[in-house]
Amino acid sequence: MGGSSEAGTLRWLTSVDDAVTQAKSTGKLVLLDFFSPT
Amino acid sequence: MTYPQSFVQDIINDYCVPVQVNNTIDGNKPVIERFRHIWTPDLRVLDESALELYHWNGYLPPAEFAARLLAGLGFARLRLRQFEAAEGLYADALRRFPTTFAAPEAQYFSAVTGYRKTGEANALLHGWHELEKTYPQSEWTAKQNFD
Repeated sequence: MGGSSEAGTLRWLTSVDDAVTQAKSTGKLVLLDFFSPT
Repeated sequence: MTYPQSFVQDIINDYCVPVQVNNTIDGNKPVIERFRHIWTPDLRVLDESALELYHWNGYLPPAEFAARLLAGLGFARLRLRQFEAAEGLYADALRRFPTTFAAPEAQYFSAVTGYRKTGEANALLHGWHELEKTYPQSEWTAKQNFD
């Protein structure tokens, strides 16, 4: 399970499964962003 | 990728549950394999079963990102046959970001949405006429020309 991280006022989850669970309860879609730190 | 602009954050917060996956972390290998991730930036729109409904790669400046995201969310709602939601997203993309790369796609699928919602061919033809008039050089204008 993942936690969440913050960038600006966005609260990014770090687990796709957690995001999907939250999408089910909110009716929102999941925005998945794969990134490589620079 | 960071998203410091408030108008981009607002779109994400209004419509999305955002999740970021660092592709350099070993523990993320299963999700990287699951989604066949290969290159960053890599953005996906998923439904509540984790089915991928829209995808794009590459950096976009803020207004382009916002328009692409609205068009992607619109397409996701269209594929889910949630036509009113799709209409609203496409209308927002076209009203706020009419000169972006994503705008012709939004116009194309806005017309498709109207047709799928009503079954009226005129909705499709009118929307595609607007596409041809407003974005004559677009790939999406070429795609709607089935003569």
